[in-house]
Amino acid sequence: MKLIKPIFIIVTIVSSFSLLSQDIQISGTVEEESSGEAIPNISIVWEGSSGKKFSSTNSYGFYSISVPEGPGRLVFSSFGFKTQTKQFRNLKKNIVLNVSLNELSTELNEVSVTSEKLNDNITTTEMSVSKLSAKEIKKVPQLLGETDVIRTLTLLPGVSTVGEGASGFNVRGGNADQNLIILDEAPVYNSSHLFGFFSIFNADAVKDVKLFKGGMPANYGGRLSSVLDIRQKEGNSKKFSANGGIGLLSSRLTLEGPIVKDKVNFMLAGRRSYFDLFFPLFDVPELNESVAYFYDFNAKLNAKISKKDKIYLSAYFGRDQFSAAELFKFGWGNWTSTLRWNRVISPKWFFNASAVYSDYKYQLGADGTTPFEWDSRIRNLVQNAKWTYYWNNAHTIEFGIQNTYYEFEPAKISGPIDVELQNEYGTEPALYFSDDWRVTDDLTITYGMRYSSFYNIGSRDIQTYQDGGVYNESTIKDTITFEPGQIIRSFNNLDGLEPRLALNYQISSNSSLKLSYNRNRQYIHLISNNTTATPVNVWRPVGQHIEPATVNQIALGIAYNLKETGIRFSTEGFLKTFNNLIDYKDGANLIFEEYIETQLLSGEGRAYGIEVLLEKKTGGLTGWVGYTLARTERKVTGPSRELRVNNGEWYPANYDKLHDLSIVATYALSKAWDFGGNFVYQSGRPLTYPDSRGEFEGIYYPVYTNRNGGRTPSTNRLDLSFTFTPGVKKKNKKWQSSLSFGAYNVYARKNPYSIFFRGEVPDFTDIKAYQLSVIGTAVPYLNYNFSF
Amino acid sequence: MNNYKFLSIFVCLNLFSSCQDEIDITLPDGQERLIINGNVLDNEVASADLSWSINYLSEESNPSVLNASILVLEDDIVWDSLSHVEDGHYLGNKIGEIGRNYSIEVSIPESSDHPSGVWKSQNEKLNRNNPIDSIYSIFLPQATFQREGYYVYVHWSEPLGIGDCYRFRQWKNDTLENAPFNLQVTEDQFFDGRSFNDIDLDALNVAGPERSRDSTLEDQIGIKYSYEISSISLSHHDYINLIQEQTLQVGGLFDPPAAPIVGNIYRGDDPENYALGYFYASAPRKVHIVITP
Repeated sequence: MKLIKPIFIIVTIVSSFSLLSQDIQISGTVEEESSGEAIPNISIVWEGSSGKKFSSTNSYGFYSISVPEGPGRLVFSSFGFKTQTKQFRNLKKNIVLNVSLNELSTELNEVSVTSEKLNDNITTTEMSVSKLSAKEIKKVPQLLGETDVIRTLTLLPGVSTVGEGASGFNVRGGNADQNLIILDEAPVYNSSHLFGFFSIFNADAVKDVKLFKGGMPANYGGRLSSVLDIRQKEGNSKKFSANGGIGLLSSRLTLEGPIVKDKVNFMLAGRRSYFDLFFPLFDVPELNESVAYFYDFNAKLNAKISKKDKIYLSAYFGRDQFSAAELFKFGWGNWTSTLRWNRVISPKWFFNASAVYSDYKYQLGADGTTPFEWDSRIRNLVQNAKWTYYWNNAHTIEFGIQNTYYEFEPAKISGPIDVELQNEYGTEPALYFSDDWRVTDDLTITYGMRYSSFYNIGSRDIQTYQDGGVYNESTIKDTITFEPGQIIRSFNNLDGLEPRLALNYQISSNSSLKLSYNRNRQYIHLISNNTTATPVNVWRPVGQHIEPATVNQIALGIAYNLKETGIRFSTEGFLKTFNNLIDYKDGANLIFEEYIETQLLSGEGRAYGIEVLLEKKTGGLTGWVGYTLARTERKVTGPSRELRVNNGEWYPANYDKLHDLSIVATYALSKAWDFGGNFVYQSGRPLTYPDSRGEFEGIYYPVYTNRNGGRTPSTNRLDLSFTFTPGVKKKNKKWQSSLSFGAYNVYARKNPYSIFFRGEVPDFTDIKAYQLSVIGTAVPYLNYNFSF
Repeated sequence: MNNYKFLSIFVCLNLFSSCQDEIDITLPDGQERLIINGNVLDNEVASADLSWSINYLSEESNPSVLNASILVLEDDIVWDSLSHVEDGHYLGNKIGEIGRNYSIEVSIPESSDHPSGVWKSQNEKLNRNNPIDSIYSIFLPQATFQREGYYVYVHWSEPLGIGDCYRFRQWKNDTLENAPFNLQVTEDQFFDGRSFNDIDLDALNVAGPERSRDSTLEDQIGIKYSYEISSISLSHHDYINLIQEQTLQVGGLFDPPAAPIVGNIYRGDDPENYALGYFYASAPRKVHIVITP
């Protein structure tokens, strides 16, 4: 309730500015003609006698533009859509103008490309942002032909993974837990199927993907390194349609259509893997009693309840399940649901509110003679309210409030003895404000401020320790009990201020200079000291003994478009400094640890580098070349050996790779045939090699003194795909299908994931070195896709 | 039981086509460190083995230390002196007592070849343990995840009161099964005060038929199995766990990071300068059985 008063004041003040304005307001929504899906980021240009005015659609397809009285024309254009122009002979009053745009084929795009369409990267203040449409993602050759959002993102500059099959992704030197992954505004805590080989996002259900590597808008927060904003399809509001595919790993089906035409529509998508169905072929009885599969469902319902109001209900549910008869069972999955309300308050005001529930849990256990079950989960309730005020063409102001309530259930074991770790509770309120300010025709600044805080709340028993910051058994002083709802520790000081700044100076019509700065704060951590996170790693909040992590990032870049060629070039340099990063004591035990602070260390980090991206967006040949030259390092200092890592010296992070080159291309061989290819080259990743050999009662063991002091050799890989689409000439054909085939790692290169050492049987004293390649051979695939 | 084949297929299906290839690699020669592995037991005289660390891929044994002076302290008072027997193995004269604290002090004289000085361990308490109640074998037929053959079980009760730690070892025909994956330690938090007697909790499974397809039922007849449960400290429990974790790395996606394995022995009083190995106190309880038809 305390927040309502200041928000009311802000709304009143900002509204009063509009009285000063004499312009006419044109507002409305932009939709895709064939499906009725709202289209974000459409460029809207007013061309009148007094010059040009600019605007664009927001995430929900809404736009508002102030124009002077009199004649002019409004041009709606975007990449991939046919430009539409609305002529006005003499505009005298505010109007609502809803527009539908037709999609263009790639070939048509080539001939109809205009500088406005291509130059959205030149005119926007957005930098360090990667946008991918589902269509683009589907063109990229993939492992087993499974269209994969996250795997595609790792082909872009600044985004990498520890190695093949690694869960999550790393953005500009950030850990995988520093990425805020949101699906229709709902946070997703594990984005992987099959331990990291595939992502949970079914591309058929995805509308678009936007990754912020830096310069984050003020409405995003809570993670240090990136925001991956994924929007599900809204569903076709014009006609019923379906599409799907049958692949070697999984099959999928998406249905969408109107319930009430142009008013209420739905989207339903499902996917299931079925490699466990082939177990009987191996003639191993144990496999017949085993289970290994994943599935996911996406659903969305949209309703236009009035001319000004729209309600969305979307959900995701997915599971991975593995079991081997009574020996073990293991499963994990996310459930998210979002209820969102959009309201066009007035031609200048747009409002979005949402309530979100997110639940990630995993279970492991056994059903044998000593059955047990281990459950762990993290639950969220998120509330968002955001107002957008289109003050005039120079200022678009956004402000809002958010609150995220967390419930952490680190471990609950039922078995011979029922035991559990204490739950943890927290709430993270935040306020933000930003202004997209077009200072001059050439200079645009987006500035903003986010203020976040965190309250760790009871009930919970907390250990206190002696002074000195050393948390272990010998320094325990006391145990304090906090009652339900009692605040254990609050983080609500000025450190919660997170300034955001993005500046765009347009040097010419096809080039611009960009600068951005952002400070982010993170209040929850994924507790994992594995090379890559596992599904059983737990999230824990900041609290009595764990501090929030912060990052400061500055980036400088240039964007340059080759006129009329569809080729874009951009380069960015970035520098990030991290504070209070979680690290782990040597040999830390993170499983079933009540007082996790006894296993943790706190350190700092730095990441810096240059990214280059050359894109060709139109024509028969499309794709990109991305290159990153970067360093990522960590440092943990402490008063004693146990509290330091690498003797307090800087050391490379697990995913530090100096060079990262990706070439992605798709080429239309003919009307029916498409060809795709990826080539990836990366420097080796850091490894720790043993300095010498110790012995304990006849067992040889490695002695390590230099964390990540060595490296694996470099890696490279080529993937190819061919897609045959028969009958493309028959435009009105209802049933359309395509056949895709290709191979991942075509030349079967054994790329080293790691180098490790193992004693040989029988006495394990003859130690040899081995190289592990996660995918050491060519992996072919065949997919059949259809739509009707 | 064909678990091995099953697990291989299962893992292959999950990881598609991962492969391991032996490679040639040259590793650095790090700082030479003293290795001390010593113990005080409540049923055998104190002992220690001393050697020097060498290159991790060396095909030779770690060089023994033959000229050390070793004292064992009980509750911080000199209690026993160990003498060199052979190949870096030292023996004392006394047997430990449950509830007492023990530590070791090793002096290496000056030489041009190796570091010299005095290394001291932290105190280790000789913790309580219960005797093993019984050991027995039973024949079990073929079933899912169970190969036909003789299975050996042990009945044992854990003393009431949380905070105890144990190490389990087994011998086959008097040969200790001593690969890294044979290292087994546990804390009592999940079975404090409980009995592994097939009534309260399942009996402890000690051994079963060989996994090899070539081994037959008859091969098991006459095999002597020995099983030992030793009380250890939490610190020693963590140390053994860490050795197992670090020696069983497979370079995989979920491997923990490489970590120094630091025991409880330091050079002088410098906590930054540690010896390798571990000095522990323990109350081992051991039983035997010979498989008969």
